[in-house]
Amino acid sequence: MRTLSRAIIRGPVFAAVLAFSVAAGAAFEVPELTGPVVDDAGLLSRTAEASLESALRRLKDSGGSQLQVLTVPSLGGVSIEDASIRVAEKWRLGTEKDDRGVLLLIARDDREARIEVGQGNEGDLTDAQAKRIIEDSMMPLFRAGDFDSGVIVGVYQIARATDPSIDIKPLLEGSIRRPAPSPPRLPVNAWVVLAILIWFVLTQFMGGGGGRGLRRRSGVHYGGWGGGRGGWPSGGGWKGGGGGFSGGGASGRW
Amino acid sequence: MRSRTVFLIFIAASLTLASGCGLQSIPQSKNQVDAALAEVTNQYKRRSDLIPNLVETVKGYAKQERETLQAVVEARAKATQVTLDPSKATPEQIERFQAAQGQLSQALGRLLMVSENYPDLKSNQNFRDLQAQLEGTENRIAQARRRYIESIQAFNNLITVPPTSFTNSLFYHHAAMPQWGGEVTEQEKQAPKVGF
Repeated sequence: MRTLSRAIIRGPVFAAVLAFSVAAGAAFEVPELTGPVVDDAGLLSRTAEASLESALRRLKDSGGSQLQVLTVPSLGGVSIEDASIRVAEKWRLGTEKDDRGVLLLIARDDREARIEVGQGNEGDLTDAQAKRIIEDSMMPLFRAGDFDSGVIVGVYQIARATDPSIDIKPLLEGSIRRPAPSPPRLPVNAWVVLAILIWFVLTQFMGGGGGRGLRRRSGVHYGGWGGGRGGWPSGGGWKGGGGGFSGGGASGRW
Repeated sequence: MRSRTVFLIFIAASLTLASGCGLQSIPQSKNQVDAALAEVTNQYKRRSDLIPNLVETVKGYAKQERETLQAVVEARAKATQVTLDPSKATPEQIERFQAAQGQLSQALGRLLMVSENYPDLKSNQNFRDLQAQLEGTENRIAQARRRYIESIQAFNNLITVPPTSFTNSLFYHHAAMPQWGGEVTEQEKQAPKVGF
C-alpha cells in the first residue's frame, strides 16, 4: 500500500532514472534465453523444472501463449518492474502474431516476484487477476519455502486465465511431491491452493504415473524455443503503443 | 536499352543512399515520438478512468477523509481538462499536461496513504483489485514515459548527428526536441540532504 503511494509519487522520476540507467548500463543483466524455464537462482527442483518445461512447451505448441519462467539471484538494484520489462523486451516474449506472452520473474535475494503480461493477454489476465495469483496463491507458498509448488500453481493459474482451452494440468501433476506447508499459518485463500495440490497428488497416485512429467518431457523435442517478433521491429527495436509489453501485470513480495 | 539500365542503376543507388541519409528515418522517427506521446496520454487516461470507482470505494469506508477525497476529484477534473494532441503538442502544452497529471499523482498518493488507516478498506476485495489496477497503470505510465524519452533521444540523434543532420537541414528543418524531464514532486523537494 505504502509502496503504491510511493510509486505514484515517484513514477515520473522513476521513468527518468530508468531511461538514464538503461543508457548507463545498470547492474541487472538479462540472462540468456535457454528454454521456457530459466532457473538462474536455483530455486526449483529438477522434477518441477522438467514438468514446467514440458507443460509450457505444450502450451505454446498447441497455439497458446508463450509463458516464461525466470528466476534470478538478484535484481542488482533495479526495481522488479524495470527488470521484467527489460527481460520481456530483450527476449521478445510472446507469440509473433498477437503478442500473447507472460513472464513470471522471481528474484531470490530481493524476495520479490512479478507477473509481466504481454499486450495480447491483457484482456484475459488483468492486473487485478495477476495480483491475486501472486498475493493469494504464490506468495503464501513462497513464504513457506515451497518454491516448486508456488511456481507450479502460479503457472497453472496464469495459463488457465490466458488459455482456458488448453489443459496443462496433467503435465504439472508429476512434480508435486513435498508435503504442503503447515496448515495453521495459511490464510483462507491458500486452502484453495492446498486443495489443488492435494488433488494433484491424489490423481497422480490413482494414475500410477510416478515420473509422468519426466517421461513426457523426453518425448518433447527441444530447440525451437525463442521469442516471436513480439511486436517489435527487429531493426529499430523501439516502438511505442503497438504490441509487445506495456508494463501490465502485478508484483508481490514474500 | 542501355539508358534504361543506367536509369535502373541510378534508382537503385539513390534508394540505397536515401535509406541511410535520413530521408526516410527522420519522418519515421518523428512518427515514433508522436506515437510514444500518444501512448503516454493514453495510459494517463486509463488511470483517470479508474479514479471514480476508487473514490467511491474509499468513500464507503472512510467518509471522514472528505478533504483528501475532494482533492483527488478536483485534481482529476483539472487533469482531464488539459488534453494533448500528440502530433501537434508544443513543449508548453506538454509541460502543462505533465503538471496537471503530477498534481493528480500527489492527490492520489495522499489518498492511498490515508487508506492505510482503514483495515476494513484494505481488506476489501474490490479495493484490492482497484489498487492492483492502479499499480499496473502507474507502471504502464512509467514505461510509456521511458519509451517517450527514448524516442525523443533517437529523434534528436537523427537530426543533430551527421550524416542525417545534413538531410534535416536541407529538407525537414526540424529543431531538436527538449527532453521530457522527470517532474520534481513535493516529496522529492523534501528529500533529506546528505551532508558531508
